[in-house]
Amino acid sequence: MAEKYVFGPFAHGAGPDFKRADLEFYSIDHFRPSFVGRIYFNDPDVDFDTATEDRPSYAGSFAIFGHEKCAGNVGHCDLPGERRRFDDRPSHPLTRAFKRVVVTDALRKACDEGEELTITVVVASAEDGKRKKTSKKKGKKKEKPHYKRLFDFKGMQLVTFD
Amino acid sequence: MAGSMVYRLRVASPDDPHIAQFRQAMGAAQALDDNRGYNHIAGFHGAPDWYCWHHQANPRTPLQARLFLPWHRAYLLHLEQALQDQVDRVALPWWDWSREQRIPDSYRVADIDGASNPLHSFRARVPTADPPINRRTRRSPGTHPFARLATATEINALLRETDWGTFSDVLQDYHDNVHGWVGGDMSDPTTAAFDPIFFAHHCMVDRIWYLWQVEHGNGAVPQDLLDLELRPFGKRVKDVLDTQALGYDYAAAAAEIEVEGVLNG
Repeated sequence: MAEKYVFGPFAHGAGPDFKRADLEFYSIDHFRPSFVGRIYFNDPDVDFDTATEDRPSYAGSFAIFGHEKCAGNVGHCDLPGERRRFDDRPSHPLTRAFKRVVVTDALRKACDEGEELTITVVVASAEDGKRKKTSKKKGKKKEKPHYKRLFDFKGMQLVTFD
Repeated sequence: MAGSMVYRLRVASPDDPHIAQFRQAMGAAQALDDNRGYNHIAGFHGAPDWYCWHHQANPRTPLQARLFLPWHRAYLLHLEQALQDQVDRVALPWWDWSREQRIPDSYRVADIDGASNPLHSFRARVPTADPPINRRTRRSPGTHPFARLATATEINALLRETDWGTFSDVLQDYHDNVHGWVGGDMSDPTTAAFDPIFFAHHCMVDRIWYLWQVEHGNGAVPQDLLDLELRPFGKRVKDVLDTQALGYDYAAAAAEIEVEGVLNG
């Protein structure tokens, strides 16, 4: 099911002369179906039905190539804890992801609107497309997902560069 | 000429000679069950081998080891070499999803000349998966409500990016969108590489990196990446920076010209 997250308002702290602005998301869990997040500035009312790329408040998007179901035995998709000193194997394929979205133009516009910023992220998977098409039909019972939220991450940072 | 460099060309119509040659090689590789075959090589990415690098960390790099581009370059090369064992001088084609924003006909049609098209789908076989996988790959293009294919304008803007990290991250994001847009097995790393269009998609990604290298060189690639291994291909990042040293280049067109008759006629 599509999800919506609203962050802020907070002081964006961007000066008048920045050349570039990035919105960074840290530690995104991608043990999920593939999904896309669309980002809107100063538009907390946007939702799945109105989250288009031509909406004036649209700031950018990111896509996650997600791993929907575990295809291994029990424990195969569990992220290991701290690595042993001599374990130099590549990290687990489900190591949480980092995403960077360039939001320069959108932040410039937001700066014109004031010193505070609200960030809204609307995320959707392919399942939401099917749901939209068959919303009036009685669908077959879906298996309960192994995750609570489609978009689970640990940090976000707005960075500007001179 | 066996062993000479090949040119990777755009995905063309099903009857185009280079696509017909590629289809022949894929059909032959798909018929092999052993480690020369497509099923084995497709299994490197997700199930059952899980070698692919998308978001992994490495203790030797500060934030994230950006091995996405080098790892997939080595992967494409491995398949291309295996296909050349089947059909001499065959080269991988690239699907320019920034201009052809649909599944190309060469990958869309199920049958060609009365035979099943090996680029349309493939029976993936992973008996060690839980549950075991033994079925043909599927797609559902264009059904994801938010996923979309990057445009030529966006690609041209990305090629002007000078920072390696940003270039790699943004290209990876465009790549992620393509996987979501194609849908079905392509939308999950577990099964994505079993769909033959995976390699046409990644060939486009590799071509964009090649175009970026032509413009910006390799100086921006962080030093701490250069010695990292690209398992299981026996190469390191520094080994895959020069496509010509790997035996391929990207071109708009290439026509083989018959010389034997003239020289010996």
